[in-house]
Amino acid sequence: MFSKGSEGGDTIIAQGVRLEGEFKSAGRVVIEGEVVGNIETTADILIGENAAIQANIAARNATIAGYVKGDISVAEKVEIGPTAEITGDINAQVLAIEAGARLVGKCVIGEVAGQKNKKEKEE
Amino acid sequence: MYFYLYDSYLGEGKYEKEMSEIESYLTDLGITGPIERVSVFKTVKDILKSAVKKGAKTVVIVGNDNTFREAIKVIPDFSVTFGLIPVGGESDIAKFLGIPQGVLSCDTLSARIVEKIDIGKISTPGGSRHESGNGKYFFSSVTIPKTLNKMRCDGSFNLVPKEMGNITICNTSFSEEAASLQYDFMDPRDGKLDLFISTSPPSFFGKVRWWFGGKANAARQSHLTVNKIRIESESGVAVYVDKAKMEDKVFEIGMAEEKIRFIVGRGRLF
Repeated sequence: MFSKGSEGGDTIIAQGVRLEGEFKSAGRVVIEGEVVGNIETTADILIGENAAIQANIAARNATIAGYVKGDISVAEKVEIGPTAEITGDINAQVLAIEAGARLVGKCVIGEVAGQKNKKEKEE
Repeated sequence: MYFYLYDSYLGEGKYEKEMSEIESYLTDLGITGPIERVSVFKTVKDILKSAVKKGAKTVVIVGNDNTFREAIKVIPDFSVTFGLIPVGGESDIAKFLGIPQGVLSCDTLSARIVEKIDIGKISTPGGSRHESGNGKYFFSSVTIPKTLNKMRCDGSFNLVPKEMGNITICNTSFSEEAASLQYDFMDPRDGKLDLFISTSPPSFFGKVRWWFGGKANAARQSHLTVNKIRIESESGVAVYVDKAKMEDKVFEIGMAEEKIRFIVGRGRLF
C-alpha cells in the first residue's frame, strides 16, 4: 500500500519520543512513539504496535496496529491490524479490519466518505 | 572578477610548488584575480569585506577543511559566489562538494556549476555569552548529546524525548555525526533541517552500547524535517555546533535567510 520514499524521506516518531501539538507533513509518517494533538499528512501514515496516539488523524492511506484515541479521516484505505485498539470515528473509501482488532466508533466507508474527505481537504 | 583568499599556512615552503602550479593553471584558464592571505591581523571577514569592496563577484577559498569552517562562519553575510581550492591533504568538505584536490580543482572552478546551498543558523535570543547577537552559522550539524530537553518545532508542536536521547540537527550529511545516522535523504538545498532523536534501546546491553557511543537501534531513531527549533532549559544546555561547544539556556536553530552560492563539482554528494 505504501509507496517508497516520499520527498525528503519519512517522518518517524520512534518509541521513546512524544509529539505534542499540530503536526502537518507532505510525506509518509511512521509512528511508534506517542502523539497528542493532531496529525495531518497528504501521504500515508503507519501507526505501529507500540504507538499510543491521542489525536485526530488525516492521511491518504493509514495502517494501524497500535492505540488510537481520535477520529481517523482517510482519502483512500484504512487497514487495521489485530493489535490495534481504536476509539474514534473512521471515514475512508475502503476499510480492512483483521480479527482481534478493537474498534469503538462510527465508520463511514465508501464513495461518500471519500468525497467528504476530498471536500474537507479542498476547503 | 575572481578573488582568492589564501589560508596563512600556504605560505610554508612545502606548498610552494603546488601553489605555483595552481596559479599558473588558473592563468591558463583565464580566471586569475587578486590574492589576500589570512593572518593574525587580517581575518577571513576582513578579507571578504575588502574583496567585495574591490568588486569581486567570486571569492575562492584556498586552504583545507579548517579554512572552510572558519569561512562558513561569515560567508552568508556576503552576497558573492564562493569556490574552493583544497590544498594540503585530503579535504572531506571538498569531497562532499565534488571538488577534486589541488590543481585539478581549477577545472571545477572554471566549469562553474553553481549550487545554492543552505546554511544553518543557531542563535541565543536571551543573549549568548559566546556570540554577539546575530548568532552563529553552521554548515553541517548541531548535536545535543544525552538530553531530555523538550524542543518546540516550527511553532506548532513539541518533541519530548521520554528517555535520554542524542539529538542531531543536520543541514547537510557532511559530518561524522550525520554519517552515523545512515540516512540518505539529506539535501543541503531543500531549505529544511533534518532533526534526529536517537533514544537508548530497551535492552540492558543495548543501553550500555548506546551510552558508550554505539549506533542506536534504527527503530529507536526518530526523524523529522523542520524549519525552526527552539530549545529551552532552565539549567542550561550544551550544544555542539559543527563540533564547537556553546552553552546557554535558550537556543533557536533555523536557516540563514540567504543561501550561499557555491561552485561545486559533478561528483558532489547531493
